Amino acid sequence: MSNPSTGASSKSKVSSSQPSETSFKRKRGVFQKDLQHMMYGFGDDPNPLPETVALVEDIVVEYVTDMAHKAQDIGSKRGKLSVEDFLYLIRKDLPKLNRCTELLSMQEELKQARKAFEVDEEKLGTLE
Amino acid sequence: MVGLITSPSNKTRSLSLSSPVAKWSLIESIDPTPKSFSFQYIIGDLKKCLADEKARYQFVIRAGTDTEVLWNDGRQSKTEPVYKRSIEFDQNHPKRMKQSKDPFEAALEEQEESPPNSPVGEDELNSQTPNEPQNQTNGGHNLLVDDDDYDEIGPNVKNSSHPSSTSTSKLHSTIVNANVALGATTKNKEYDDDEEEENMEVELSKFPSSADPTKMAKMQAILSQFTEDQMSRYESFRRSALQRSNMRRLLVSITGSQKISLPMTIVVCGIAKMFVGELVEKARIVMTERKESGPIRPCHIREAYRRLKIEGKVPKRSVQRLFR
Repeated sequence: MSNPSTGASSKSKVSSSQPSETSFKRKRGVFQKDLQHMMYGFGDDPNPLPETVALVEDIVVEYVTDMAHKAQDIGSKRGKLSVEDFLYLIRKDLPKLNRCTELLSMQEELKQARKAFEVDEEKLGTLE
Repeated sequence: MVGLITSPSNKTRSLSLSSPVAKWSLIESIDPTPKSFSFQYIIGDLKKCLADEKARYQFVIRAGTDTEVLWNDGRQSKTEPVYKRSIEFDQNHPKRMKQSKDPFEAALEEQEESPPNSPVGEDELNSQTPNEPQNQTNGGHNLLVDDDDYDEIGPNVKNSSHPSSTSTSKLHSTIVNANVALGATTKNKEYDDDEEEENMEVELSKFPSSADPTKMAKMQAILSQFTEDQMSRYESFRRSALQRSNMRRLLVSITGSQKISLPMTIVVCGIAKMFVGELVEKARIVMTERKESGPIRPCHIREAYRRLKIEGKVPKRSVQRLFR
């Protein structure tokens, strides 16, 4: 169970020091631009050091990978992966859990708003 | 006292008078066959009432959706407004303004109240007449639009002798017109409220917030006191986010399944952002412990990461990663 997952992760992650030859090379600096702003927002310098950003990105990707694997393990019992698996994983971490529920409810509201907006536009279209 | 004068005609014109004469005519109109009701000698009485020297009579005018109660001063051929109201039709039932009891019942109720004073002693009046609608429940006003009910004809007499009536082309029956107006507006208000609520909901959801007014007030108070530097940092904090497309790609590559739903991407982005926050904040704490300043260096991050691991906030790998 864990072997394929580690295999996949080793394929998808490539160290920057070795030139990779596998086809599952992960690009460096996927989140670099966003992370710079984010780190500044959280307390770093307005221009964080590039090596710091690279390290943080590595750590974040590893974090997300581990979370996804664990969620998959939980979800495999149900059959497929779902949002609740992630929420289950962070259940102990209250700030994260609250933030996630807030994000989900906001997304629902926005969806409703967009629907209503489209309906209104239709009405306006038919009226005109 | 208010009376009701009816006529078999379909025209909607009416005149209500507060007088004993009207009471008599009211009783007449309770007759089950109102169509046979003779209207002729009412006109004579009306003339008499309208031309009253002592100005003891009020009348009601209804034109479209506007309603007015006025004192009639026959001596000077002028009127004094007492009460004015506009009503709206209920959108759901365009034929009706509001449902309520029989107009004659309402008229009877009104009659029980003491008649207001004439303009000579008018001070009480203004307080009284507006009270009437409030005291009474929905006055019957089905007469207004229902074709089955008796329609009223305001005598032409009134039109000729009163300048105020020239503005009215159509008059509707009104006994407790003020009541009706009140009822109609409340009913319409509900309808409007529903509409407003709907619109408001849409608007609110376009700007989702914590929906806690005290929290919002606190935030506003804090934000107003930010320096420029703090403000820009806060803005970065709020607006920065990991790209959903990149995250989705990463998740697909990890899980191997193409079915990554949008909520899942959003949740993972949110979790990752908070994780970055924890990292950076702890790195800053490490720096202050070490009494260092400036941009955060990788060693600080590593120390912060180590501490988070000890705290258990980083998921542990079930299998050690042997090859990096």
